[in-house]
Amino acid sequence: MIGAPFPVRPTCLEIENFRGFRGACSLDFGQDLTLLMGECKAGKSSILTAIEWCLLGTKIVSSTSTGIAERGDWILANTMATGETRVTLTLVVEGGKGKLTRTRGLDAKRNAPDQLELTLPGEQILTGNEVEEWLEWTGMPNWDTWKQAFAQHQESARERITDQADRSYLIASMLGLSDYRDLSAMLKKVKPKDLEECAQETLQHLAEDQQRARQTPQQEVNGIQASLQRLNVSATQAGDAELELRRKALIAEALPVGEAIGLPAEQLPHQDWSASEVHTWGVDWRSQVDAHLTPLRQELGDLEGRIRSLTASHEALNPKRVALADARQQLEGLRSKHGSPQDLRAQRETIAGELNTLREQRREQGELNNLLQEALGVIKAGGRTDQCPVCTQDAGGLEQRLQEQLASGGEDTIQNQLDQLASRDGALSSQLQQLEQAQATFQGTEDSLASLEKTLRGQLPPGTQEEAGVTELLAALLAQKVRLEKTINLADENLAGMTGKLEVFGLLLNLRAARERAEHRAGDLSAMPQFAALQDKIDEAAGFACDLIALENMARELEEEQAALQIQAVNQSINHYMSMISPGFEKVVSVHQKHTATKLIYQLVDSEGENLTGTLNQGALNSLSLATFFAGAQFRVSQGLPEFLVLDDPVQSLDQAHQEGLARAVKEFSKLAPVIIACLPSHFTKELERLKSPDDKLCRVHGSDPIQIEEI
Amino acid sequence: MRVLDELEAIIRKRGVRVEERLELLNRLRKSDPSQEQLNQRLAEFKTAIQGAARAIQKEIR
Repeated sequence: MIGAPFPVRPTCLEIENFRGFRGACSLDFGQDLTLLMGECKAGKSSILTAIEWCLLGTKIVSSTSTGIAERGDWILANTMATGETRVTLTLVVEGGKGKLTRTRGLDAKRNAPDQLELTLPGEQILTGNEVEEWLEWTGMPNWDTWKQAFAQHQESARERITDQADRSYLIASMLGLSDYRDLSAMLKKVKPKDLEECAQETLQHLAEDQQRARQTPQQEVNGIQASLQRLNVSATQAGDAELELRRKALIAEALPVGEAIGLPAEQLPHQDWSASEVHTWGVDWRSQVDAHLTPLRQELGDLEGRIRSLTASHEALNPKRVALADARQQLEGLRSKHGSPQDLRAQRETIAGELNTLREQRREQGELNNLLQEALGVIKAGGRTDQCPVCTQDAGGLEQRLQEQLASGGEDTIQNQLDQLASRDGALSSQLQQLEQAQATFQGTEDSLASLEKTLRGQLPPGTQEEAGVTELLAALLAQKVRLEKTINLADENLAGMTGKLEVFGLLLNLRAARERAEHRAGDLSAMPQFAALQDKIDEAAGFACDLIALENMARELEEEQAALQIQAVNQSINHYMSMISPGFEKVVSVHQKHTATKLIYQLVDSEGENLTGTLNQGALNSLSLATFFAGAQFRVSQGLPEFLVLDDPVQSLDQAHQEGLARAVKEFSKLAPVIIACLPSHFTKELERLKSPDDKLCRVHGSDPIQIEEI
Repeated sequence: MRVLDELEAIIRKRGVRVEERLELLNRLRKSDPSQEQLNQRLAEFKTAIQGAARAIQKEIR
C-alpha cells in the first residue's frame, strides 16, 4: 500500500447542469463538517452524487458496477440544460489547491468518455488518464472501495456488515489489506484449474483416439486386401522384394515413354527413388503424359491434313492440264472456222448498216405508194373518164399509169433483202457467242491451273522441281506421321498399362503401411516422441498453474499475518464508535478471521464468538454498520491516506438517542477528516447544529428549479 | 504495490520455482490490466497443449 504524499481534502464544489442543477451553483465545504439539510426531493443526494461523479466518473451510475440497483437509470445531465454538464471539486493538495473538473458534452453518446482535467498549484494541468493516475497516486479509492468505505449510501449501508463479501471487503479495507485481497481475487479469477482440465481432456481424447487407431488399421488392411483380390493380386505381393521389382518395372516402363514424348527431366522418375516416391510420382503420371500428348496429337492432325492437301493438289494437276489443252483446241478450231471475234463483230456492223439503209428505202416507198393511192382516189371521185378533175390530162390514162406505178413499187424486194440480211446477222451472232464461250472456258481453265500450280509450289521447299519435290515431300511427311503415330501409340499403351499397375502398386504400398500401423499402434502412446513434447507442454502449464495458486496462497498468508497485527486496534475503534452511536449496546464487538478452502472471510462476533449480524435488530445493525464505517475511515487516516466521508441520510431506523449519538460520532470523526452529510431535518441535524463549531458549515437545500443552497 | 514486494521476498525465501514465480510477479508489476495478461498466458498454455496433442493425433490417425 502506498502512503499518501499529502492528505487530499475537498474544500469547494461547483455544479453546472448536473441532475436538478440547471445552470451553475457552488458550495464551499466546512473545514471539518458540512451538513446539507432539506426535505425530500430537495437535491441533497444529487450534491453528494456530484462529488462522486467528479471523482469516479460514470461508474457511479453504471448498473453493472454500482451494485445499487436504482442507480442504473440515473440521468446525469439536467433535462432542461442547454450546455455541457460540469462538476468541479476544489481540493487541498500539496503546495496549495487543485481543481478537478469533469465535463460531459450536451449530446455525448452513452459510452463516450468524459473530459477530465486537473489544475494543480503552479498551473500544472493534467488531463484524461494523467488525472486518473494522479488520483491513484494520491491513494484515492476506486469505486468499489468508495461505495463500501467512503460513502454511507442508504441503498447499501447495511450490506456493509450483513453481506459476507461486502463485510469481508470492508473489514479487510479497515485492516489495510485491500491490496492483498485484490491480488488474491485477481489471481483466483485467472482460473489455473482450467489448465488442469484442458490437460486432462486432451489426454482423454488422445486415449480415445489411440483406441480408435488400434481398431482402424486392421479394418484398413482387410479393405485393401479385398481390393487387391478383386484385381487378382495376391496380398503376399506387399513384401519388400516384390514391391522393389514393381518399383523398378514402373520406372523402366515410364522412362522411354517420357523421353519419347519429351517430358522434362523433373517429371521423370529417378532410379533411386523409394517406392513411396514412385507412388507419389505415379499419381500425376497420367495427367503429365496427357498434357504432353495433346500437342503431339495436334501435330499429327496437322500433318495428316497437310498430306491430304498436297496429294489432292498434285492429283488434280494433270486433269486440269488436259482440260486446258482441250479448251485451247476447241477455241482454235472455232477461230479457224469462223474467224476471230473481231472479224465477226466487223461483219455484223456492216450488216447493221445495210439493214438501216434498206429500212429507209422501205419507208420512202411506203410514203410514195400512199401518195399514188390518194391520187387514184381523187380521179375516181371525179367520176369522169375523159379528164382528170385536177389537171387536163386524160383520166383513164392517168389512172392506168398510176396503177402501173403502184404495181412496180419494189416493196417486196426490199423486204426480201431485209430478211436475208437479218438471217445473216443471226448466224454471225451465234458464231460470236460460241467463240466467246470457248474463250471463257479456256481462260477459266488456265486460271484454275495457275492457281493449282501456285498452291503446289507453296507446299514445296523453295527451288525444288515440282514432280520430284512433291514426291520427296510426301515421303518425308509420311515418315514423320509414322513416327508420331508410333510415339502416341506407345504413350497410349503405356498409360493403359500403367494405370492398372500404379493402382496395384499403391494398394500394395498402402497395405504394407497399414500393416505397419496396425503393429505400431498397438504400442504405448508414451513411446512416441510427440508425446514427450506434449508432456513438456503440460508440465510447463502445470508449473504456471502451481505458481498462480502459490502466489494466491502467499497473498492470503500475507493478508492473514497483517490482519493479526491490525485486528486489535480495529476492534477498539469499532467498539468506541458503537458505544457513541448506540449507548445502550452491551456487547463487545470483535472482528473474527475465518478460513475457508479458498479465501479468508471476516465476521463480526460478540465476546462469545457468536456471529452478531444474525441477532441484531434494525437499529443495532445500522449502528454497527456506521461504527465499522467510522472505524475503517479512522484506520485510513492513521495510515495517512486521503480521507473524507460522505453520508447520505444515515439516520434510518435510529431513534432520537441513536441519532444524537451518531451526531456526536460524526462530530468527533470530523476532527480527523472532513465529513459531508445530507439529511432530512431530524434529531440528528439538531444535535449537529448544537455541536456546530466555527469550522463547520450547515446549509439548507431548496428543491425548487433550479436547486438552491442557503447557508444557515 | 507493497504486496508484490512482500510476495517477492516470500518467493525468494522459499526458493521454489523462484525464476518462474518472479517472472509472474514481473508480469503483474508491468501489465495493466494484470488479469488479462495472465488470462492470455493461460490461453497460450492451452493452445500449446492442444497443438502438441494435434501432432500426436495426426500421427496415430
